[in-house]
Amino acid sequence: MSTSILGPTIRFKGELSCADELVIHGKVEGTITRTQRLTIGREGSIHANIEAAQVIIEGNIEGNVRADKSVSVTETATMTGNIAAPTVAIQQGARFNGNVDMGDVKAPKAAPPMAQRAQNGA
Amino acid sequence: MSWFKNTAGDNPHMSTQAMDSKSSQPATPPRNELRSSFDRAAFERAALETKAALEAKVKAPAEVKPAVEAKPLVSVFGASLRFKGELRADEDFTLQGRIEGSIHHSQNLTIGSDGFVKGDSRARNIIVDGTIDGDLYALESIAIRPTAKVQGNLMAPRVSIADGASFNGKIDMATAARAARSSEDRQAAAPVETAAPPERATEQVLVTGAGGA
Repeated sequence: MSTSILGPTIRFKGELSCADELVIHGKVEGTITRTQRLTIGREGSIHANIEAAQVIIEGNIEGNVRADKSVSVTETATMTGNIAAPTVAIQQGARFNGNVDMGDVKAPKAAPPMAQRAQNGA
Repeated sequence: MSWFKNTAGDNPHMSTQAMDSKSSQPATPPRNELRSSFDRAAFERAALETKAALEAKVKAPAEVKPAVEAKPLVSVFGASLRFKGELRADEDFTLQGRIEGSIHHSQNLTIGSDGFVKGDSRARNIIVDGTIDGDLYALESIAIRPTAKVQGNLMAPRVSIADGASFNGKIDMATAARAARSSEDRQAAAPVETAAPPERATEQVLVTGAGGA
């Protein structure tokens, strides 16, 4: 598994995807999809909808985040948008405005636990 | 607060103790000297270390988490990365992934051996080890390495194509040289934007040349 890092001077507009780990310190506008593990660094500024297995947010995000496994919003993060993931952590100090949805995730990889939860709920 | 002053010497016991310790000090002058010189060296070393640590701290980008600090903020474009759109950057990087769209780069751009670009790339210097389907515009130089496959036009004052590389396209050094020269005057305003599509670039350069004369 290789890690891709987008440095602070990188600005990208469009569709971005990475099958492995991706760390963003720059600016991205558009969509980020099909990424295993996505980290938005403290200097990162994202104006995009995100789909990934695991998302760690340390910087600024404006957009919706959908994760198959987990989303963690750290204390340095500023986020405006909705989160949909089976596991969500928001650290104290983080600025977050939006909805959190832990139950209605379309998660092919997390299918067994989600199915169990649905059965238990019914 | 009077009890506070006692330690300063009002207490006879304290003062005698102080006297005792003082009197014992001159009894071992060589050892004291040794120790003081040793201490000074150690102190200087410690000071240097602290200074270095402080400088390192200042240089480090404001309080990055240790995990990130281990990897400096340098771009790495892995082979699994896929871009579709417009990429802009002001730092050197090597691309191993796949980009469909345009690259606007103000420094040195390297398309690695696993890199694939479909679209136009603009940078100061471009080195190609990978595959390109599109035009390259460089302010200074383009180097096509042996493993490269390029389908498109090259525009730069200096172009090199290594033996073994596959290249199909046009090379324009004259227009690029003039464009680069004129761009140096306007560099502050737009470092990479000066390289326009080749058909129009010639006209533009001619027009600006006439305007200047």
